[in-house]
Amino acid sequence: MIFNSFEFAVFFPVVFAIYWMLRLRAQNIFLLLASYVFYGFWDWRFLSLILFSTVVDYIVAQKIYASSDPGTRKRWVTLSLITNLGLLGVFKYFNFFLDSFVEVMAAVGMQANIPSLQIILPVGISFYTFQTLSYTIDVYRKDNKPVTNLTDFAVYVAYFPQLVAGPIERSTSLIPQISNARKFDINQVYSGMTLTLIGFFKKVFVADNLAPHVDAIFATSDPGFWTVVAGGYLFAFQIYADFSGYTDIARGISRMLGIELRLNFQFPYASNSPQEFWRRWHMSLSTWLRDYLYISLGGNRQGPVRTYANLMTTMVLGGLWHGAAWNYVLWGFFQGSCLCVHRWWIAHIKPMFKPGLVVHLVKIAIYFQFTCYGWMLFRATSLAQVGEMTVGLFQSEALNTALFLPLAQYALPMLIIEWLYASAKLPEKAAPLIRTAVYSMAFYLFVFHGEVSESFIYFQF
Amino acid sequence: MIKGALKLAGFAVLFVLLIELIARAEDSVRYDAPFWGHYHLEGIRGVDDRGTVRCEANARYKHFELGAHGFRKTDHVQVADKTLIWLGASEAFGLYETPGEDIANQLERRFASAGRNMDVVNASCFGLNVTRLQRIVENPVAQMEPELVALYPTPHFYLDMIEVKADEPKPVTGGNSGGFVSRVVAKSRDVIKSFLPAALQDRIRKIQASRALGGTTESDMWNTPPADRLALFETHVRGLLTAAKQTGAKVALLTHANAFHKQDSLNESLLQAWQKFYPRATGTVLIDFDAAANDTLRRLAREYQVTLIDVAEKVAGDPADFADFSHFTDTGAAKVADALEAWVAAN
Repeated sequence: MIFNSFEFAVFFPVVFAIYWMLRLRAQNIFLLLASYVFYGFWDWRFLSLILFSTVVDYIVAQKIYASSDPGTRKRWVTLSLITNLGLLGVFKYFNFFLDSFVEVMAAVGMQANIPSLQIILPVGISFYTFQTLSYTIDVYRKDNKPVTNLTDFAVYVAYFPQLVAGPIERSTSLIPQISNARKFDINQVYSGMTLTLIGFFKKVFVADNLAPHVDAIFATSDPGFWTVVAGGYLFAFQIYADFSGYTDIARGISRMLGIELRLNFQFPYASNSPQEFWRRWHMSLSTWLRDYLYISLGGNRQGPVRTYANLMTTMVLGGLWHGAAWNYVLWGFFQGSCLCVHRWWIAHIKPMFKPGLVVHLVKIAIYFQFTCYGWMLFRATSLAQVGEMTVGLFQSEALNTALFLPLAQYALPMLIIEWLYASAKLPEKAAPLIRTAVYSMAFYLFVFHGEVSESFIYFQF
Repeated sequence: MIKGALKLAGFAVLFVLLIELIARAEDSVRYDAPFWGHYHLEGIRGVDDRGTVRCEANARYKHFELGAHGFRKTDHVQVADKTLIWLGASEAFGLYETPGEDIANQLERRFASAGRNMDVVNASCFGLNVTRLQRIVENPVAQMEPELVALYPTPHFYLDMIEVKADEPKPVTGGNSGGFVSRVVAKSRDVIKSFLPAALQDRIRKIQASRALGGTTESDMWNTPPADRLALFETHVRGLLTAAKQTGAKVALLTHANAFHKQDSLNESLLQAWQKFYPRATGTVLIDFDAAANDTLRRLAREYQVTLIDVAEKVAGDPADFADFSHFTDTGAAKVADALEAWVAAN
């Protein structure tokens, strides 16, 4: 089931109404059933993977906590890693590595006839495996205690607002909210509704209207400079509106259920460096990668060379997390390179200009170009297209302003509405009225000028 | 809690009011629509001084802009060597094609690019039954002295609950003014329709159809194409052809295409959408009536010695040519334009 569907429009009000009539324990059982129904709408067979992952990690965490022997604890956490990464490996990466192996063999003149698996990628597998992994690792690191109630843990794994595309929640934040009683608060419901509305506006009005323009640009053969630039810019806003829109909807409906999910985006295109970008973009993934991968690899504690290597490894694996394709690896490599170069730069080059608003804005504008180039790598359908579009950046072309018009039509209203929605600087008395006007406009554009697509971009990850 | 709820209710009212204002502001800015008052497609159709229901002169609704005679504007030709009158109901008017892609516009553009100064006048309007078409041919089409007249009569009007009769003079009503009607509610209907699952839409249509039937008894329902309605259609088409020939123009009569002819399987949902407007026609009566009416048109074309353009045969078999049961998409309109272009080229 996807949020922008008729099924969800019926499903959520029913869930909401019943949920608030129940007491905590019944509420959690109901939430679990609702989550399984939500996921089962897509393909009920893959519920078995969620159930398997839930049971394994529930038991593993208990065993880790019960043991004081470091070796035993390590063996149990290794089992959790193998189970979760194994699921991910089989369902997401097996065919990719197999196909790549066959291609490499073919390149050196050897024929390898290895049949690939006929499997489809279970929706949300990258998200819920990371979420369950963080739980067992937290227990292993003694940052958290295991959950005693299996239902509560199962809700943590399968909680429907964030099950298929995040935010990737931490057990320390989500489990206490599931285990403790929630209180109906009409202001929270109102706040959740408005956040959901903003999410739908971003997804349906902005992302889905930008999509055909982006598709057309990326289908252009032999593109020139302006075409490539427009492709990068438009896709930057499409993917942001799509993914942050999903997150807003997830956070909004969760808030209506009395559970607060973490912030996942904070004006990422206002970043003036790669470091800042990753503090603002897909924050739940970037902090996960930092806490469970980068720091596990040694972080910045083993000298500059290892730090650069750790950064690069983290980002390449982060790229691969997004999808089993070489362009995602390349995107991860590009992001890692940006972080390494930036790190080296600030350590070795003295600032040429005094800090100030103008310098800050120029930095933002410059870094946005790098971000968009990265998105071009991300959106490309093949490495050949990456090459074609990169070459296109050096091919002169007459400026076609029509290519950029969708930015004014869709991206600009989003930036204005988002700023007005999030800004804390509105006059206190006028703020409720301004916000109501913002909601009206967002609702109008989303309902009457939206395009409804089938899915969210991040579902494929 | 109560205070909070009241506050929310206040914001909800404000929210709805603002949305209505935004809708009106958008219509005003984009389409020059009146900010206050009623604004809907029906508003561009009126009644002339002879009592004929037709599109009003210089009216506008969204991208549908009408000229001095209440004919849809095309602006490709300034001074024309020849004039072609294209006349029919909503299918010919062009309800669903993207702006500029209705049949008349496509046709005129093709002539322009071929270097022919042909003025294609789209005299069509939605809801024009054959008697109304005849009235328009008599005045103003006859006074325009066109060289070519192409007629696209719609048979299914003759399956309406009320039998088709000539319009009688009556006071002018309608227009884009009147009492308050929410723009948001009107706009929402299309959005909701696109959002609801097909099965639910079918169910709603069934309810609407049974409501429209009102006190109709079982014996009033049609299980086969009603012969009396077909005969009435024929009588009216005869009148139309007589009037069209009297203009002195070369006349082409087109058969009526629908989205069901030559299809691999019957699209029940689409048929139900059609039946909603003609609830007395059960089963496949609408399709069968269209086919029978087309046979009548073929026979009359021979009898009156006018050119027959068999659109029903030319535009059939591809669902992509139809936006609904009988209205054309851009590609469907292009196929009709192909057929008309060939006829014009031969004349």
